[in-house]
Amino acid sequence: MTDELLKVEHLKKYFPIRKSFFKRSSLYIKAVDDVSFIMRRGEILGVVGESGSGKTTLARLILRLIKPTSGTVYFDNIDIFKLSEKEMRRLRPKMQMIFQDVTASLNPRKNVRDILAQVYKTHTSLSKKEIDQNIEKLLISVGLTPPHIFMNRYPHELSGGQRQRVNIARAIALEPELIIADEPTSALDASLKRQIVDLFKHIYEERKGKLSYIIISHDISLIYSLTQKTLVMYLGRMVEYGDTKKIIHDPKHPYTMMLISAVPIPDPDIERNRKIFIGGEPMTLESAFTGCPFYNRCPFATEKCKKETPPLVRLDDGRYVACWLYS
Amino acid sequence: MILLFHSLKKIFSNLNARLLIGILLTGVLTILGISAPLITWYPPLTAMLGPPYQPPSFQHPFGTDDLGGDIYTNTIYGIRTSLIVGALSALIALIIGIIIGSVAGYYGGFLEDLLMRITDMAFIIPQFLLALIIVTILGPNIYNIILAIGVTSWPGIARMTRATTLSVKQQTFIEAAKVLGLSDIKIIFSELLPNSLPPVIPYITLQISSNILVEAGLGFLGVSDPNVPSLGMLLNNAQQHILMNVWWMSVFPGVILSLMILGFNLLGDGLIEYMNPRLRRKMY
Amino acid sequence: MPGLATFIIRRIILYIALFFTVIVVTFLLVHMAPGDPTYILAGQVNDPEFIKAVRHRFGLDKPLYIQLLIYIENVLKGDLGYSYFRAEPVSTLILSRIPATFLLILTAMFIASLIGITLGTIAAYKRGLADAVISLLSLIGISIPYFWLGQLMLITFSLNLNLFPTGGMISLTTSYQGIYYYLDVLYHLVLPATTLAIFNIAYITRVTRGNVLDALSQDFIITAKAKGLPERRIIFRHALRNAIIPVITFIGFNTGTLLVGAIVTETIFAWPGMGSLLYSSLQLRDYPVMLGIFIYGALIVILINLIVDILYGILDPRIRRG
Repeated sequence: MTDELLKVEHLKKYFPIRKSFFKRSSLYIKAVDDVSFIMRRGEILGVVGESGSGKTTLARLILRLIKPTSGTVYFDNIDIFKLSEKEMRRLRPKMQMIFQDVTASLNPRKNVRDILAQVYKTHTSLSKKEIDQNIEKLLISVGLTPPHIFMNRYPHELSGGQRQRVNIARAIALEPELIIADEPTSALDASLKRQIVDLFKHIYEERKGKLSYIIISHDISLIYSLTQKTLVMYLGRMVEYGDTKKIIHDPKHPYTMMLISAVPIPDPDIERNRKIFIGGEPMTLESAFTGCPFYNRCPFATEKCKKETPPLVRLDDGRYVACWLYS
Repeated sequence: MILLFHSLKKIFSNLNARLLIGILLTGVLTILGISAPLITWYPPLTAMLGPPYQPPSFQHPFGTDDLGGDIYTNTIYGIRTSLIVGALSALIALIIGIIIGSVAGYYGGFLEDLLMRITDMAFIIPQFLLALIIVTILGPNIYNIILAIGVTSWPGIARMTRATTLSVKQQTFIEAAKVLGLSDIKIIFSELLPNSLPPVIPYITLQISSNILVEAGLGFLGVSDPNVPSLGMLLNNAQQHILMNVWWMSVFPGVILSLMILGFNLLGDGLIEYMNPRLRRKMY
Repeated sequence: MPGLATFIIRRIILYIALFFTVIVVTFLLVHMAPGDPTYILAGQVNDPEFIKAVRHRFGLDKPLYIQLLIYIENVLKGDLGYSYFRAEPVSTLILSRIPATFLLILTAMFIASLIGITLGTIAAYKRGLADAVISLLSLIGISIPYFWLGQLMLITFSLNLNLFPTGGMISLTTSYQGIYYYLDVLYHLVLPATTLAIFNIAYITRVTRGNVLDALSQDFIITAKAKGLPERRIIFRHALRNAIIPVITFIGFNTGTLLVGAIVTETIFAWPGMGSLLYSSLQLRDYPVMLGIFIYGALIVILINLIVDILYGILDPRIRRG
């Protein structure tokens, strides 16, 4: 077992803009554009950005739910895009996902037992009784007690928080090495959000060192409370990447500054003193475009930013930033 | 027991009038068809059971035909034929339609384009004429009739299935199943179909109704199995002797046929409304 | 309008493919039939010279794919074989019957559209009792097989009330001239056209009702109401106009059903169109005529669909996005 769980190299996903049945356009939406990073085993990575920044596409690429335009993803040193469908299905239990849409990710025609039993039936040869025992343990560990009551419920008979717990139970059932959680709390109210965050922490502590998370969110406070490293994305590109604490206390990229200033802070003094800056609308990136993608919203933009795309450079404190202010 | 009674009462109070009448009509006709040998007292398709061209009487409630055959007996046996042909041909249509619709909707891309263009073509082609040609050329027996109606009536089911498949496919639980490592076949059967098929169910009854109509239409044009009594055959016979003003030869088989089609239409409409109460405003 | 052109071209490609499919299916059916295909192509005739001629003409001693090519070539040239019973080429025979069928269909559709759209609009707008009655009647209307309805009409109005002729297109006893000729045809047309219309009235009523209900719940109608436009005007200027496009499409996409309806109705009233021809060729096992009617039927349906596509593309710009 190596220390390196996930290595993403120059990952790109361009979606062609289809104009009609006959004409295929030469224009592309760059959903993910040249993303590279390395995740160590046991690490928790946050991916932040506004909606449309390519976070979910990145997650779907890492899980090979879609094929990349170019680039590679190594999971446990295996290039997942070189695997056959069958080999990939065997690898899938190790990498799980918790989807953003809490309700739509559960089959409405199956009860909780069937939803969870399917996981075991697909990847283990346990008997019916053993599966039931496992499901009971699983439901207890995600806080759905008493388990025998919840086992026979259908998704529509559960509350939003309970559904999310079923989703989490399904994801952890086969003890994966990586869980990607896409906006895991966006559908929940504040108190439930707290409980789910605690559940994530609890599961992480229980399997410390063996489990890694990628938490995708636009919610800086969630990222701050849960993650060790943070990757900030803007229109498909990495704009900043490094230690979560450093990035949130001292953002370097103008976009990160903007994101963090939009977070409500419970302390009224800080709230009153900080200057919020939000301006402009995100542009859609088409292939014809060169220059910094943040150019039209950035208060520090120069002529250079308009013409050339800033490279991702390493700063002295170990973080990476893609901005002409720092290179 | 009381619990059972209450749940039955609840189910029935939720049913709309159309659905109730539809269940009643199709139910009664099905029972008549099944019990044909018990409620008739002559053998079917037999001549000279009485004088020819007799108006309705006690011995012959629906009168007799040109050969002195009993129209009541033949009509009751005809119900059975209509139901069997309607249901089996709808089953064939259902199997073809569901496979084509599900594959097109699930895989998308070129395969979907191809399959849906084929469906478009099958939709435009005059299905009745095609069925008629198939049966005449292959020979007018009951199996060819079922087959011909089945293979010409699937496009509606295919379109319907594709539409529901597309909407279910977008649901995240399909992707969730993929993340869990389920194979495509497994996903189609355990995740997709259980959700995409229920909305198609009411259309099966409408398909049965339209297939019964086609079967009777073929029979009316003289394309029927000569060894199997059918309502279309009776109406064809009535047509050949219509100028003799023997109204009973046409009226009784026709009323039964209309009631059967009405019953399945009501059932279908009622089911659509029952399964999707928001449509109530739009339905009849 | 490049969008419209693309849309039409795509449909034309589909229709050409469909027409070839129809020819190939017909060909395959003839060869799948039990026994020698010669008898299907020639009719059940015991004339060795004629059989030999047919075998030669269809290349029945050559490989299957060459036979197919010969068949396609013949069909494209309009050569659908020869009706031995009627001593006439199939194409000539069918073409001479098309006008009568079209007269019946167009008359029936005119009546059906007029009444169906009116009833559907009333049902959608009035709601309540009128809606319930109209809806029930239209459900019954689509459930009564038109061939039986035709028999009922014939028995009631011709045989017992003696109001209309029992069949045919013109009176055989007297030959009328000028305007009287047309009135005579019209008189013969009443029963078959009504039979064919009733079924379609029921269908069009159902479709119109649904569409008007949809249109009435849309924003622009609510805006019109808010502007204080009189309700009657809202219905006829706004709701109905938006509901009529789907009705036209519906009529277009059901040409197959319409044609079949006409064919069956003709049989009852001995209306001298394609239907009567089909019925007699079925009884005579005159296969070339049957196959010819199928191919011509498909062609007619395709052409009407094409016209509807063009109309629809012009009336409703949204379709072009597809």
